[in-house]
Amino acid sequence: DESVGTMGKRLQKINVENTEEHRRQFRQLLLTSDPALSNSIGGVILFHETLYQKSDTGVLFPKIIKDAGIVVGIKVDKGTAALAGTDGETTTQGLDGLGERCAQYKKDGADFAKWRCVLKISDCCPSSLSIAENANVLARYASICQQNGLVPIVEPEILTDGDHNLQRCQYATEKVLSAVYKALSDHHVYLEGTLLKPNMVTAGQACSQKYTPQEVAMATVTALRRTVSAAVPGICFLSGGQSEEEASLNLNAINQCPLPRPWKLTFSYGRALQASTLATWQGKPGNTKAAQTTFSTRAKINGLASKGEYKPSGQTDQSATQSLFSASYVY
Amino acid sequence: DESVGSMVKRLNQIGVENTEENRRLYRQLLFSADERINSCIGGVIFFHETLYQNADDGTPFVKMIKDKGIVVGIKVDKGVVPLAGTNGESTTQGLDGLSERCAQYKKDGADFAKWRCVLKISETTPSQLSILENANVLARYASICQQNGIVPIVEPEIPPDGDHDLKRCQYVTEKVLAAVYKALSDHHVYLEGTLLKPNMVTPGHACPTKYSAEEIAMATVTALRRTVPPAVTGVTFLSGGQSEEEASINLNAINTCPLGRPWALTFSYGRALQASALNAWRGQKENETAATEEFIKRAEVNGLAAQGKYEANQDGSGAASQSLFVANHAY
Repeated sequence: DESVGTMGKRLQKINVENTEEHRRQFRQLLLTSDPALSNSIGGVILFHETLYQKSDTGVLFPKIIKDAGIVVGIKVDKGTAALAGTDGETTTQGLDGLGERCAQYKKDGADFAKWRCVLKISDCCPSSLSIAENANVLARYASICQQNGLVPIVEPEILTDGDHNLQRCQYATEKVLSAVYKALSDHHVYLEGTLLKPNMVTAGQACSQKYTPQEVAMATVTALRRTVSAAVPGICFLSGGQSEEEASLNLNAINQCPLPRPWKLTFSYGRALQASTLATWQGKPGNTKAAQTTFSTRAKINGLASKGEYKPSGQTDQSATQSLFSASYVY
Repeated sequence: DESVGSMVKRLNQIGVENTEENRRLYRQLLFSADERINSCIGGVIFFHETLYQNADDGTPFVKMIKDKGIVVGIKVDKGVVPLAGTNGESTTQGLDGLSERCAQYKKDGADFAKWRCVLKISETTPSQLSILENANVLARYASICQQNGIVPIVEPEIPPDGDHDLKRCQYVTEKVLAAVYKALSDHHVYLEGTLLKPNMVTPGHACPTKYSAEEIAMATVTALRRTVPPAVTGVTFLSGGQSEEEASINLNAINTCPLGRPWALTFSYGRALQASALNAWRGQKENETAATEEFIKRAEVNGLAAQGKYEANQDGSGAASQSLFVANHAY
């Protein structure tokens, strides 16, 4: 799902006005796209508004999702806030009253939550303050969630902005994840009841060198093996501006990587699941069925990729291969 | 192997004088074990003196061991020193000139090293300082070893002294190991080229509650799953005062534990490999063969336990079941 602000960007691209009704229609389109959606999708991260919206037939979205055998999640952070004295780095806010909010969300049908922190790579970033502060706030969030029966998805995203190479991203990812898991330990978080949502290890978006999915996979799995303990049951990658097809190919390569992987490695994609669907829909009710087919196709592809079984047919359409990179991305 | 100081205790127990020659004779009887040892023992941790001793026929011990296909290791720490202002806690010294020493040991035949830190459990310990300091010194040691082509065995021992229960030991072990791996990450240590030598998670020696091998295994593997990244290839448990049989049974239970275990789980036993052999030898030349035989038996049992294939028989033969606990054990 997307926040109101982000839905704005999505709808703008297809010239649709960002009204609550349009947002509702698009979400309905996705959530009712395929009765067998649960074969590919295990959980949906909703935005606050969506938790209380209904379908045309008056059914609350959480109920539709649950009836489809999918778990309902809720994004609980309140966006990034600047860290003074750093080079444009941030932490994430949202801890105030989080305990009460989680308790309410649990009553309203959510069983997991998501909180996104953002770190960036540059000559002087991520700084040790940024790493320590974001790791700490993620651990506080995770701890509060667990006190309220919500499974926390921990998301320390390292943006792809920059011209750094694959190795630099791997190095930064290892340092960040090491700090995250130390903080989770310090805050007594029950690891078996968490999920990790990291970036894949990729070169910067402006890096002149190109890498294969196998190289991306090797770097990603190596970094995770060095930092994520086996108690963590699952890792769901963010797509971070990769095109739909790239995100699927990389996930597939990750699941075929010859290194041992004691956690599930799957997807938590926003842009990379919805781009083609949005393009097909164009805001027109007449396109709903076609858009839904596009969406469930993408979901199935990623379902296969999460098992290392995706065989690209070679006929991907244009929007599937379009980069979804957007500088200094804010959800 | 044992240091001179530890050999004193061993030899005292069987009424043998602690001379260099007696130590040499004892080590010789262990190292002359036949080829049955080759598939059970992968490495031997030498003390400095031993690296330069020879068998009766002039063959250096290093060569005897290497000819069996066993890797030679060297203990490089210089024992514990007190941490002022703490409740009897310590750190470990030995960093001075460590690099030059490692380089020399490498030339002299060693390919791995061992460094032991000690953290104790009580109402007030391990303290924050003790955890931080010991984790840091282990990381410095590991980093220096790797610069000299030596694989570091990282040993953060939590001795069983005390009356705490299994849960307390598990809690402390998790905190200590989380700190150790954060320090190793901070010091840029290559995890794939390290081994961990931890205590098993057991109740304190004076704890009134008794636990089964399966409970010990579950607590131990859970603690490791939460803290030891899959990139670490192997975990070699110390025996820490358990009897020979206890140490084997527990290792076996660990290797049959139903939780996922991405690292090899094996043994690095001193007391628990040698007690029977020492007893059989009693310093008498005519007992040498019998003593070596006791040692081989114990090694084979543990070799099976490291695969989860050991079926304990109930004979409870004297030395094998005798607790080897020594309060405040110093090697």
